[in-house]
Amino acid sequence: MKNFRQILEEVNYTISVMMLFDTILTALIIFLACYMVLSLFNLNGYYGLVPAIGMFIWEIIKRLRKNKLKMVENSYETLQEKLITAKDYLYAKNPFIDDLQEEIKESIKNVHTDSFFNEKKTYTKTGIIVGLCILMLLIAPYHIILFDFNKAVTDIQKRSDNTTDAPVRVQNNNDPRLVSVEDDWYGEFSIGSLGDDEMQIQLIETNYKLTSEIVEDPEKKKFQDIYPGEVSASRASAYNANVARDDQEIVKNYFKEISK
Amino acid sequence: MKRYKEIFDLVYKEIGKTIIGQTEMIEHTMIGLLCNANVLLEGYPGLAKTLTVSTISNILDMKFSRIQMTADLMPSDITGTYIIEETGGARHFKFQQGPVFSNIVLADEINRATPKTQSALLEAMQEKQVTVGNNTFKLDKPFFVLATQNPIEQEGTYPLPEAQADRFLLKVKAEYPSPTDELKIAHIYSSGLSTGKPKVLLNKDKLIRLQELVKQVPIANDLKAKVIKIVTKTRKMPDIIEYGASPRASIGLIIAAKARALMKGKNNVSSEDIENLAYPVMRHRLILNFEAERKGMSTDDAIAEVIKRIK
Repeated sequence: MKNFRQILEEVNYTISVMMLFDTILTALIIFLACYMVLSLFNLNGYYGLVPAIGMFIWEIIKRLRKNKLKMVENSYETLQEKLITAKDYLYAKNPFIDDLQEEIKESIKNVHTDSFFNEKKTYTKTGIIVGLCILMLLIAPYHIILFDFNKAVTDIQKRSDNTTDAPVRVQNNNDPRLVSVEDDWYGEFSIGSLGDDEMQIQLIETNYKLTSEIVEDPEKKKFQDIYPGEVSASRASAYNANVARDDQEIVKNYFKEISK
Repeated sequence: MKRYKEIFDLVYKEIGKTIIGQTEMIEHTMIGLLCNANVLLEGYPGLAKTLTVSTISNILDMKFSRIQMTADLMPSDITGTYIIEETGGARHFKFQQGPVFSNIVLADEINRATPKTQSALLEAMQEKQVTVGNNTFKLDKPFFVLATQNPIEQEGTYPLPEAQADRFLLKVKAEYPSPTDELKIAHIYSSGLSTGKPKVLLNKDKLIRLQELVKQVPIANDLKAKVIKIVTKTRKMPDIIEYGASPRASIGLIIAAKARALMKGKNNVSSEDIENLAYPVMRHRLILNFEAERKGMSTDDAIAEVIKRIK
């Protein structure tokens, strides 16, 4: 027979585990929702872990502070205010406390764990998690980006950089021979800056299937097919050219000189 | 703890032979006895206040005395006085005990006595002793004052000062009986039917044992905190309450709740015990402000509001 302290600890443990499970489900929903939203804004989805973990810690602390015995009492009329009283008088000995402990031991047999399990709430949360996962899988191939937050930040950064490094404008009104230059030396600034724009190239995967079964042997070509049937040598037409001996000497010497 | 409930069920049954209805008044008076405390019964004439107290005294095998308070009653009429006694030709002073030297003192219509006489009961109620001249006499245990007062006919009365009212653990209200109960009362008492004398059920020792047991009834710390919350709240409601209850009310409410739990055969005090007894414990300890009185609020309404606000 379990002693009374063990009974109270068991009640506490069981309720705590259920609370932990519920908190994990809620944190998971927050993470998935944040992941999806961040992806739509072209941000790293793992940033969603921050609110999820934050909420998890907050909720766990809040729930740890809750009096689990009171939760049991609220669900079971027969245990109303008995568990907390028995806990406060755990080590006291008098006929009332002994009777109270016995009464609780009897009543606690009728306490079912599933009465603290909010079926509807848990199913709803699980459904939301599954729904979010499916939604993410469905929209992933389309690469939907509602607003490119990364690009917007880069643009703003570049614009601010360009504003600070503004080109020098020259204006000379003293020398009448010189034409005064009001504009940028290098022309229109906006046009000039286009050249520095980073190109956003995205390689979209395409389905590629390699099936080894349909790979055939390379086509065999017979040597005879590509080799000419008859091989003969003929004198180049330049050989028969009637070039004067002196000219031949000049050309010969020229190449000799070059080779040196 | 069911056997204690059986004892009190028997007590109610015996009292029920004489008193029809008034269950709450009987219950609260019995709680006062279990707490070894004084009880003030208030109600219109003819609501069996005095009969209830005398019936309770009948089922308790204890010394009972009744003092009918009047404007000309002197303190010595209550406490007793020194008289000259002659024995063998020698004369000496002897202390003649007054009616206060009993276990149960019924101070009937306490507000008819002058403040001087009322205050003669103060020491007895609080310290359980009486001082006459230079001598202090301890009162027999158990000792309680059960006083009655009439809320109407205020002419020629001396309302109890707050300090003295605070000495009463409970102020019990005697309500009009229900029509069914009234019919029964009319039938029994108009036809001269014998209701039967109540049997003696408890003696001093048994009652003292029960009073000791009351202290052992467990009460959760959360419920103690609730009691403190209720009592302190009465001091923080200037919109309706001018003066709230003292810490004596907190102690009284906890001990009275324990007694009620024992009488109901419970192993612990519950919220219901506290909320039920908040009314008799605090109704004579609160002073409402002018605004509340203008609205026609009673102290019970104020207590209900206190309980509502702390929830």
